[in-house]
Amino acid sequence: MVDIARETIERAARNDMAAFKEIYQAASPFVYSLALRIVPNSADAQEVTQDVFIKIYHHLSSFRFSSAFKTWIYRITVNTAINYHRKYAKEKQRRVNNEHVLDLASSSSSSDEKALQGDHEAQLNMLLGSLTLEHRACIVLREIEGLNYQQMASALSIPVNTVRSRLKRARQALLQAARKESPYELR
Amino acid sequence: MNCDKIKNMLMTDHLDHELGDKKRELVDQHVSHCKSCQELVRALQDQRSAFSQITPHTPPVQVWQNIHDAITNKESCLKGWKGRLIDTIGSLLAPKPILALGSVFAMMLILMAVGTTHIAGRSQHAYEAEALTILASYSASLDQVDVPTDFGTDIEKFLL
Repeated sequence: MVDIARETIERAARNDMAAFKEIYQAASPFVYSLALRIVPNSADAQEVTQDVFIKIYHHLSSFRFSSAFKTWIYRITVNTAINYHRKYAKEKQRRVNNEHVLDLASSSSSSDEKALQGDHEAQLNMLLGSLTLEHRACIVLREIEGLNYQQMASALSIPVNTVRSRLKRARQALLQAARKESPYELR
Repeated sequence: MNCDKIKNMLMTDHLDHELGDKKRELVDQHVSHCKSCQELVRALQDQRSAFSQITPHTPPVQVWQNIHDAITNKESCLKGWKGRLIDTIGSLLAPKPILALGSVFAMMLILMAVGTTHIAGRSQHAYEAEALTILASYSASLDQVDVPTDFGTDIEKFLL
């Protein structure tokens, strides 16, 4: 995520819409990408992104700069996406094996889902789909966003040792899933 | 350190550069002569390089529009609520036609004056009447002190 100046955050906290748009432009690719990997489709990811930024706007005045702004946004995003998934897609919540994921991928139709297909990102997305929500969030924060253990613990509100164990289990599951289906083996 | 412990570290701290130099050295020494651990390291590195190629997606333009609309609608709702409150207070405090205000004030004064006089008059009369009655009964009883007419019981009458 691109760095956001403190002055911009303070202006946005005073309901300056231009400053808030700057924050949106800097953070929305991360928020949307993370949401895309937690909720089942792009429409839901867009909904999550909207919820996240509305929450950010309304709670900016309570942000005290005691933690990093990025970590604060990570926390809001992960919580919102996981809650959204649990609330609206409970019946669809799946711990799919690769075959199920394949079916889902072939039936998806939006532009984002099409963009995810046809390259190894689609394969990774399918493999991520086989993880639990918590494990998925851990892998995305570590592997895509590059957070260290301390930052992850803060973003997910869990102890560092829990970060460790979740990462270990998530990686084990990914390796197993990749081994199962040779066409989707990680390169 | 046994192989399982090393594998745990390979999947977490070692891969994520969270290990201290000493421990990293120990793990690397083990990996250098353990085929199973070497395989795991390769698989994990492949996994990592696959993730590193992922590029972030930008949300559609409509998302910002929806956020903007949601925020501004809420603010205008709040403004509307506050505005109505201010209007109500303002209308109560706003200057009214002086004639209407004057006549209402005069009516209130008249009502208050009549009410007070009536209550005061009534209470004055009542007090006076009561005082006269008490005085009359008192003076009558005083008159009768020296001339007892009632001797009480029959025995008293007999003795007297």
